[in-house]
Amino acid sequence: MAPRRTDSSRPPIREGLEGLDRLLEHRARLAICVLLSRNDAMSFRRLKELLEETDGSLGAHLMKLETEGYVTSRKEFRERKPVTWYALSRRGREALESHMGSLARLIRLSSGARG
Amino acid sequence: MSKTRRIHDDLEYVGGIVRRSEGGSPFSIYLLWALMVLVGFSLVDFAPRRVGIFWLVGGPLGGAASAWLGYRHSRRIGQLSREEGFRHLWHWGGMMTAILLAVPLAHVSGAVDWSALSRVILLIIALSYFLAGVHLERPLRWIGALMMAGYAALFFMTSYGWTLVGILVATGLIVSGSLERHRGAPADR
Repeated sequence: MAPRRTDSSRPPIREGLEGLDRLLEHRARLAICVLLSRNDAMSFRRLKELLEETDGSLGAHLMKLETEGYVTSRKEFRERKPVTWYALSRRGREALESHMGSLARLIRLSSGARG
Repeated sequence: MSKTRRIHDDLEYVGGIVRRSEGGSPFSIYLLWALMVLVGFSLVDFAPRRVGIFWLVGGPLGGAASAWLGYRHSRRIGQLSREEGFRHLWHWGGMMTAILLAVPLAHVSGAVDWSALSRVILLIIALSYFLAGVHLERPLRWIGALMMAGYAALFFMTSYGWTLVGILVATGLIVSGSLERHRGAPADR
């Protein structure tokens, strides 16, 4: 009988993969959070322009992030037109930092495995 | 495609977007400083006694106007970053402080004459622009280099040297600002 695999013997790459945040595994959502982590706030239009996503797709990503409490939004009117601003919440920042940490570990492990 | 390969691709995609998000200053700031340089440098040739007061008043006022124009631009394109604003504030504030500290060289101690001090100040400004180009906004490297060339050229020009350097730098600022405008993002709606 094959020995049962314990936590300490689990392959580190798999552990790294499990440390990833499922919501941030999508690259558009990851890009949104990274951009918001480098800026205090960004408008919907600016995010759309940078990510080159459609209104619907970007709106869906932002909705998911907002529902999970990763981003916050506020609306304002400029020249009678609505502008929606998005900002990264504390929870979102923590999730992003943890996700990036897992990514960095994974990359280190995979380059180590190749080398 | 393996998971790690996909992660590499995703990070490249994110990196590309982040680079695209790093926009420069609006054209209005380039234009403002092109006008300031044109007038301020020409005064050395045409009304040297007014140079000090022009920069003493115009320098900080221009800095405040630039901060306001930068903030307005950030809101218009839809990207607000206090950190970026503070980086500019520290950089240009440091330059202005260095210039203010250089003034007593001529005014108090008399260690150098006003003509030499003007050149020292030009060199401080040139270095500040060059370093701003390295750390903040690429096109300013060339403006800094242009100012250094102007500084060197002043040793060989006997008349209207400052005016010519002013025209050269102002043209450089307008050309760089126009190029940035075409590279930059359209205004947010």
